[in-house]
Amino acid sequence: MPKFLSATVSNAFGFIVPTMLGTLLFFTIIGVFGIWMAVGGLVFAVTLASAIVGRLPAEEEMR
Amino acid sequence: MSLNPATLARVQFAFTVSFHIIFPTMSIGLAMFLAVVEGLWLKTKDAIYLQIYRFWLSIFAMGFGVGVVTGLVLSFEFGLGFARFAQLAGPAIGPLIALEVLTSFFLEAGFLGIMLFGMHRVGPKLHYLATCMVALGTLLSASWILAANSWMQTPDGVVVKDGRLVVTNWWHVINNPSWLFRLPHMLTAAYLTASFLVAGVGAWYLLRGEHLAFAKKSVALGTAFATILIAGQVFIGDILYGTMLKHQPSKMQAAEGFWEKQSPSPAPYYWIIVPDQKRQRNRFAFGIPYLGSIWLTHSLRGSVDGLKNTPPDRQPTMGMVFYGFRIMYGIAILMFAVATASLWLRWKRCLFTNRWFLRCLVVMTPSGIVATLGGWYLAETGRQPWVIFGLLKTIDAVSPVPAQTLLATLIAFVCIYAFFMAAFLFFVLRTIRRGPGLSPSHAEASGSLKNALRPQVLDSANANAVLGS
Repeated sequence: MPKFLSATVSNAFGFIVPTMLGTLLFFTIIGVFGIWMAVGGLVFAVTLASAIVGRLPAEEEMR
Repeated sequence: MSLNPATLARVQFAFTVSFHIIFPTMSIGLAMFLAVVEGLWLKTKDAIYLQIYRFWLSIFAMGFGVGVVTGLVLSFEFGLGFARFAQLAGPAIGPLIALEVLTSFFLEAGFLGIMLFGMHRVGPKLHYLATCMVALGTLLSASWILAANSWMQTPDGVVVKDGRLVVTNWWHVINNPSWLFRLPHMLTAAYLTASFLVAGVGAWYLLRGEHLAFAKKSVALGTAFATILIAGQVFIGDILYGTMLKHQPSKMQAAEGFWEKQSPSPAPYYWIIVPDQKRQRNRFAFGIPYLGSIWLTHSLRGSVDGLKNTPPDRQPTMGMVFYGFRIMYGIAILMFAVATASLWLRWKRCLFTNRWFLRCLVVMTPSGIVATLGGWYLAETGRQPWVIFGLLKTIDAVSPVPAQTLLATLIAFVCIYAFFMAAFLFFVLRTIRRGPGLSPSHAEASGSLKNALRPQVLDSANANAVLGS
């Protein structure tokens, strides 16, 4: 596979994964799968966000 | 052309309240943000938090001032444009407005001076207390105003006796059926507004390669708050939707853009419609198939109630309600997407380097304000033709004032508010362009935190010594 194509596929995949996860979480939180799933989705989203925000500094030099 | 006093009164109130709501939304959000940032500064002693605090404090102060002035106008407009509403609803609304003044205004007024000018004059704990009290004041203010507005949406605790409202249960007036859901929805909207403001300004500096430490911390803080808040906001919004569907079905019927008593099955989710209120149909509609059933009925083939379930003389104007809702909801979806992307980029450790994401954050800077305006248009136009839902129609609430008077005051408001907005934007954009300041003031440069915050009050005993030195 040409190098530029490989990079494009890699970027597209990198974009698709969070989109799919985010969409699923959004549908869950607005109650599509029921109120208790919505509560669970909210708790999961807040816990996940708190964990990632609290533990990963996201530091890297500006390109 | 004859001028209609009822239309002019509505246009005037819509204009002044739309202008006003921008500033409390910012100041409620920024006050809480400042309290968090000052707390982080006191805990970590990291000077970058102080720099962020000072930068946003000046913008908060300007927004707070404009918000108070434009808020006072609204009380007078009840008399000018809607005297019959004030006469009827005064026994319920009046005490709530008075309680706002007694609790939140007094609290804010008492501590705002210390917050703005007391950094070098009081100890750090007292200054932090002042910031927290101002944040609490803004929260209380929102609570009382939301209680009053929610009572107009879902009135409770009153009876009509001899053409006047008599309060039978104060707790029900305050804790009316929609207040407990609308209050957290509005507060979260304000906090989200502040989060995207902070993150957007930080992203702008990162793209320009300026004030990098300040910018990174701003983006990190703004996206962190936004990520947690938007998840809660979407959840609260969905619960509020169900509540309003129960208490104000006409509003939610108009918000979804369907006319027939039952929508097609499966129902699409409309994003663009051209409604024809007179013929009770859409001239044009564009939507995503199945999504209406999935989102609104939580099933693949569910139907949604249309506006024909409400008699024409009790229907709100569909276009305004629909687009108010779509603006708010569309922006909420974008916020959720940005929040998810920020988590992903943080996980990949490239939150500050992905230029596409930083550009998105810059574009999203005013998104909270636009979404809040959309939400209030949904709330207020969706309540029509009632000013107090089910009790008093807007047309019956208008003052017996000549149209010329209302037109003259409307023109005056437009001119004065245009000046306010120009001055505010000039000040804010200049503050952002100048940046957070490269050198800290002498007090913070003095070494220890204790010295930095030592009171600098001159009394008669040491004034001469200081002046003589």
